[in-house]
Order: sequence, then structure tokens, then C-alpha cells
Amino acid sequence: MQENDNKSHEHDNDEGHDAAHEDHDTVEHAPEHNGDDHDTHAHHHEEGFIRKYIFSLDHKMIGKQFLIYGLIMLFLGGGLAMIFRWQLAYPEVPALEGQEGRGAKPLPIIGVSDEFQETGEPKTWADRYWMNVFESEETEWTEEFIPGGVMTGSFYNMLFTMHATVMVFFVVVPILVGAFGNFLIPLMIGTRDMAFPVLNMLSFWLAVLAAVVMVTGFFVPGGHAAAGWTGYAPLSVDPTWTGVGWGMNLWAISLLIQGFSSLVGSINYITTIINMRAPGMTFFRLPLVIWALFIVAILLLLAFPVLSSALALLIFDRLAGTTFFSATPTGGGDPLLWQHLFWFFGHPEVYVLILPGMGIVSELIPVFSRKPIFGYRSMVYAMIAIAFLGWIVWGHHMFQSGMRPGMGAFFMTTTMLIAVPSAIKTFNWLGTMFRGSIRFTTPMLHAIAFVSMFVIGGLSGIYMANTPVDIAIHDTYFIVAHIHYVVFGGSLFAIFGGIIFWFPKMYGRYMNDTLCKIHFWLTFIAFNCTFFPMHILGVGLHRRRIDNPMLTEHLHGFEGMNIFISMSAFTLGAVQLILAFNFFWSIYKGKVAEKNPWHVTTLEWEAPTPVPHGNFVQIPTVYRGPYEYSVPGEESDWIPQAQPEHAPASTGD
Amino acid sequence: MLRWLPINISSFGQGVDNLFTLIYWITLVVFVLVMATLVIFLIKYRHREGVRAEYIEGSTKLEIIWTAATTIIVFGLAMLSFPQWNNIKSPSEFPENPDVVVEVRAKQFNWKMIHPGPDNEFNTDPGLDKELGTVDDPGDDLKKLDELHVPVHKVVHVRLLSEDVIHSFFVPELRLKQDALPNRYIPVWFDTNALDVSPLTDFEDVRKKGCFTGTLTFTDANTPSVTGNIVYETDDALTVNVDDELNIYNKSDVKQLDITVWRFEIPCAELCGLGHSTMVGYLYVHTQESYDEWLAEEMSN
Repeated sequence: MQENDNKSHEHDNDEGHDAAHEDHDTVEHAPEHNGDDHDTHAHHHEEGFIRKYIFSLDHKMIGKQFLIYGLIMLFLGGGLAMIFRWQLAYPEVPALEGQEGRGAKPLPIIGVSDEFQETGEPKTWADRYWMNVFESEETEWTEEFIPGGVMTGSFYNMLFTMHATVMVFFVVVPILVGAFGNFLIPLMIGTRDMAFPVLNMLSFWLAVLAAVVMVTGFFVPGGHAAAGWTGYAPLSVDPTWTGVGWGMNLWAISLLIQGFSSLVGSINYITTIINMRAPGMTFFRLPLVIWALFIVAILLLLAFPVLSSALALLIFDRLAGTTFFSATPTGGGDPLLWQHLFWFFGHPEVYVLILPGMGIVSELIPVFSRKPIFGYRSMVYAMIAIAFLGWIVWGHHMFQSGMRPGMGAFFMTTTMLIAVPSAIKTFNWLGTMFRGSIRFTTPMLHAIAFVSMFVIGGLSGIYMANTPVDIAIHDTYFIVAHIHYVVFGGSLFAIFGGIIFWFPKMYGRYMNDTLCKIHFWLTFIAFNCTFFPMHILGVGLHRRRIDNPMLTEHLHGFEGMNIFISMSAFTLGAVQLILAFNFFWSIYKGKVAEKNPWHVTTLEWEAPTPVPHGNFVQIPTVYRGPYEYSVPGEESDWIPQAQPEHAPASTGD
Repeated sequence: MLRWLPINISSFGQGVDNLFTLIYWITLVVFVLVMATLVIFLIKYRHREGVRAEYIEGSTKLEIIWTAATTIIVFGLAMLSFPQWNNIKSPSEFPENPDVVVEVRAKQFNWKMIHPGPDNEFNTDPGLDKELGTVDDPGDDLKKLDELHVPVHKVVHVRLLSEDVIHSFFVPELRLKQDALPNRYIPVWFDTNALDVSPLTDFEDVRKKGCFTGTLTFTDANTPSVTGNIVYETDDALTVNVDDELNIYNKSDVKQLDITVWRFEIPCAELCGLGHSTMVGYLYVHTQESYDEWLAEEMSN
């Protein structure tokens, strides 16, 4: 092996191998290749900067690329939320009859000041800015969308539309599926790379292209898509109804590209997991996070093409004059068709957002409780049940849509049934902690936060699954609270926990634990202060997607609560800078980590740190399930999956 | 938390609120139990030197118990909900012989309310285009913008339609919400049977109770009573529009309030474009007398 390493510069060691290796700089896999001969080309050459860091074929690098991509987009999506929360805290308050001291007011800080409006003398930097903008010949985009600091409805609609689009398609899925999927699958099933490394690279660069197209939409005349992330037709069809022209087209095109990226990625994941597991790694010895990613890949494979078809039809409607989704009496189209297609994709999609989070948490809790996962098989079946039910519940988004009311009964029942596997998972996580030896490391704190936030998010779902109650709370802040408890309280806490947990394997260093703990507690508190009150807004039947709650009298009592939510949201946003700093600082300056710092049994920790090209010195053989902690009669409280029977326990480094 | 709910004025709204309350208590109890268990486990089973975790792989018995328990609860909830849902949304279960039939058409960013003309038929003027979505002038029909007038405690049938994008007809106090689709009439019904019409002597949150037009009688017998629209309310005063003049009365001076018209909001609940926030109509609930008066006056115009 050493010899081959030295020769690798000349590429000549490929001779004699089969043809597939010749034109590739990475390993080509087939299950039977898991033997030692792999090592000869596993390390076989030094790559240039571009091959190593940019157009990499290595699953670990692609995973890291997805991670950084997702974190950058997280700040874009979060930033958009900050702007619209500023609007919601200080909306224009109309001077109601008989009410004094109220009236249209620009937003604080970024709008013109009262003194400027009275005297014409600029006082603040905002006054000077707006004076220049109004006086200049050219029309700045700010003048169109937020003149003098008064936000227009179209700008507000664009902000929340893009916040949701970015968070769902460009943050949570790329991080959970793209980053963790890529990094973990080959390492945890014990293979050297993905089945199709080139497709894998393509998947990432398609995602980059999609992001570029999506971001371009902000700079076209008319602004970006403003029909909600759900893009309900016919609002999304005709530019005259939103005032959005190419923004909406780019939105659809970008999501089409993102669809291809997901498709390519999911085919890769499924093939890899089915074909390339290490010897002894049966399906029921797979770690639960791999099960989750496997199920998610199947969901993505089957669901995303439905969205892609709908998007293609939408683009035809917009650009070619077809009427698939418009409701002209002679056109033959139907706006409800869009909703059916969108949610047939959309509901499996929200399970794509949460299942990998459940998987990550199912890894963290056994490790830090030093116990086997409670009910491994029922955990797997519960995930399969959730994924299956995910296909037959889409109508619960459409209870008030004008869909035949008789369908409500079916969709209510199937939706409520999701409570069953969700409850199984929650109780099993609790069961895993029962009589454990719980270590309160930062990843474990995130896992515990995930469980408790997921309980709230799950329980609030029951309100909306119930059709009569949904009539009242549909399209109110209740759904906003629910989705954020599941996707932020769930997925993002799992992401944070997962990043901190696997960081030593990804970058060979620890993240700074003090900063991690500060970040965790501040996030946890600010998160609950931001989103819990939204349940109360929802019970008050506060419409969502409105830029100005003060226009309806029944919401006047919520002015203070909206300000509180906004302030909490700004805190929540600011706290994430700690994470970003810690992440990038630790890549270079963090404390160097040993091979298996948390004493974990699964295979990724068998690989050297930092993980070399080809992952393992020798492909491990798997002898047992993934959660063998505190086995009676063993001296060590953990037995790695790859440790042969009756061999002395490993020391961990 | 449920005290944040707006008041309910419809006969089916109480059923919705009851289910809401039931789910609230079920979820609260589950939440408290799960969180208490979690906290107890975290404290009791925290890592201590020399104490080893117990090797437990699971328990089929427990799995069956919590699977069965959850299934029973959610099926029970679903069973309780079917009749309520059908009562509100299934056209076949709507009360027959409505007292009022009205067509509501949504168009960015207004609600057009159309009452049939003297012949009680919609769109009966000769020469009118009867195509859906193209009728701008309803002929002999009575058309109001953003104002829906109905008599109290009577059954109202609504034919809901949109003329452009999807909107949603939402009256929080009725617990009623229904999307309006272009090119498709959707039948909706409601009544206002739960609206309390007795004279008010307690003046807390009178606007939240929908009180709008009414007569104020004062404790001081020498002050003549006034009739007007209550347009604004603070904790201890009412702003009343009497013949286009705003007067402010202290609640402590008022003895009794006899309401003839209640007013509730009809916000659009489905994103419909840049003016979505501003799309708010009003539901005026009249006493029968007041409704007849209003209708006669409108029809004579």
C-alpha cells in the first residue's frame, strides 16, 4: 500500500485494474470490491485544489460543501425573516375613527423620521438616504418596494415567500439530506464512497445553480416571487395579479433545477445503501440515521418529480399561454389541480425535513445515555409508517380549499394516525434515557431540545388535523407556530446537534464547547419566545401572511405580542452568528480531536481522523447492531459494531 | 390560552370550540406527562461515577400499550369530529329553506355581496351576460361592496365565488372559513344563533362582542338616550358616532345598551396578492326589524 501511495503521482498504478478505474480519480465501487485491493487506489493520488475542494468527487467533501452551502443560505433565509418581523412589530397603524395619536408611520430606524416629515431637515442617516433616493433621477429598488421606510404589500409578500422557499429548499434539505446524507452514509455503512461519485458532484453543483438562479430573482424588475412558498395558482399564474414577472419564473425554474439535484442525490443514496454495505451490515444493523436517510431518499425520489411536473405546467401557463391552473371558463384548467400536485409533493417533503432529524437524534440519545436505543425495530417501522402515511394525507392542507367536503373525513383520519408512529418514536426516546447514564454534552442538549420541541410541534398538529377546529385556525398563526416547532425546533436543533457531534470526524477538531453551550441556551430560549406566542396569535385567529394585523379590529390586542415576537426573533437571528463564528473558527483553530471522542459504536468512528480518501484503512466487518452500550458482562460500556466477538474491548483511540 | 379566542356567534361554532377545548386538554395533559417524565429521567438517570446504564433493548408490551392508547385517542377524536364537520361543510346537511340567500364574490381586494332582486332570483335582468365571472352589473340585484347584511338568528346560505385568484371567506366569530374559487360556486351556510341579543348592562369588550349600532341609556335619568354607531372602545369609554359626530361616553355613565346592529369582520384568509392584508369586509347582523328597514331602503334606491 505504501508503495502505491508513492507511485500515485504518475497514475500508472491504474494499469492492470479494470477499465472503469482508468478515467476516474476516485474509487469505483461494487460490493465485491470491498476487499483489500481497494486500498491500492483508495489513496492513489494527490489532487489539485480544484479537484479536492471544488469539483470534488469525494462524498465527505461534497457533504461539507452542502453543509456550508446550507449555512450560507440559512443566513439569507433568516435575514429575510428579520426584515418582515421588523414590519410586523411596527406596522402602519391606521388612525381609526375616534382614536388619537395613531396614523401611518414609516418603520423605525430604516424609515424617515417624524422630524424630517415635519421640517424637511434630515436628522438621521435614514433621512439623508431617503432624501437622496427621492431626489435622484434613477429609481432605486428601495423606492419601489419600501419608499421612505413604508413597506409595500408586494415587498412583504416577496419576503415571506422567499423566507420559506429558501429555508425549505435551500437550507434544511441541503443540510439534512445533502450534508449529513453524503458525509454519513458511506462512513456508517462501511464503504469507500457513494455508488455514483460523479452524480454526487452533479447533485451539488445543480443545487448551486439552483441557488444562483433563485438569488438572481431578487434583482429582476418586479422583484422575486410573491405568491407564497406554496405558489397557489392562479395567483402565481398571471403576472398582473402579483405584479411579479420574471421573479416568479426564476422561482419555478430554480426549483426545477433543485428537483434534478434531489433526484440525482436520492438515486445515489438508495443505490449506495442497498448495494454497498460492509460485510455483516444487514439492514437491521443499520444505524437509525441511515434508515431515516434511506426512507427520505425514497420519498424524495417519488415526490419531487410531482413538484417538477407541476412547476413545468406552471411555467407553460406563465410563458406559453396554456391554462392548466387558470380558471378561465373556456380554458379547462383548475386552480385546485395545483394544490393537489403541490401538496402531493409537499407533504412527503415535510417528512423529508423531519425524518433525518429524528434519525440524528436516535444516534445522539443512545450514545449519551450509554444505552441501546429502546425498540430499534419499532423505531424503523415507525419511520416507515410515517413515510407511508405521508403519501395519503396531503388533503389536510386543503380542508378549506373547496375540495369535496367528504374527503375531509378520510384525510382527517389518516392525518391523525400520524400521531401513532410519532408517539412511538417519542416514547422510545424516553425509554432510551430510562435507567441510562445521561451525559449532558452539547449534542445531547440539542437532542433533548429536539424531543421536547417535537412534542409541542406534534401535539399542535392534532388541532389542525381535526377538520372542525381547522376551519377556525386554518391559515392563521397556529400553522406558523406548528411548522416552526417542527422544522426549527425539530430539524434545526437536530442539525445543530449533528454538526457538533460529527464535527470532530468532519474536520478533525472539536467545536468550542463554551460557545456551543451559549449558543444552545440562547437559541433555545429565543426560539421559544419567538414561536410559542404564535400559538396564542393563532388561537386569536390572527391571519398569517398579512403585513399589517392592525387593519383588522379583532387583532388590536396583539400589538404588544407581535413586538415581543419580533424582538425575540432578532435575538434568535443574532445568536446564530455565534454558531457561524464557532463553526468557521473551529475548522482552523479548534482543539484537535481524537479518533472516537464520544465513544461511539458505529462505523464512521472506525475511520481515521481526518478521514482519508477512501475512508477506511481496511473495510470493516460488522458483527452486531449499532447500539451496543453497557452490555452486561463487558468491561467497556460500548462495543463497536466492527469489533469481532470475544475480542478485548477497544480503548477508543 | 383559549380565552384568546374571539366570541362565537354561530350555532356550529360552539361545537368547534368544544372540540378545540377537548383537544387543548388532551394535548396539555400529554405534554405535561411527557415533559415531566423527561425531566425526571434527566435528573434521575444523569451520569454518576460508578453507576452503569442498564442494558434495555425495548419492551414489546410497552410498545403495544402506547401504540394502542394513541390509536384509540385519535380515532375517538376523529369520530367526534365527523358530524361537526359535515354539519358545517357538507351541502347535503345544510339546513333547508334558508331565510337569506346571498352571493359573495371576491375580487382583489374586495368582497362583493349580491342579494337577489325583488323577484328573488339572481341575474334575472334581460340582456345580462350570465357567464360566470363576467357579471359586473347584477341588474336588479342588490349589490353591496364589503358589506354583508343579514338578519340575526336566521339561516343564511352563501354562494361563494371568486372573480380572479383564490380568496378565503373568513369570519372569526362564526368559526367559518371557506376558500373562494374562480369559476366554481361553493355553497356555504351559517346562522348567528349564538349571538346574545339581550340589552347589555355590562360594558366590557362591547366591540369584541360585535356591538355596533345601538341606543345608550344613561344612569342619569336627565341625560337623553342617544342612538349611534359604536366605533371605538377603550377600557372605560365608548366612542359613538351620532349623526356623523363623534361623542365619547364614559362606560360608568351608561346604564343600558340596546343593540340593533352587530358588526364583525370578514378578512380574506388566503394570500391573494399585494393588498391581501387590506382585504377586509364586514358582516352586519341586524335585528329582524332593522334588517327589514335596511332592505326596504336599499331596494328602493
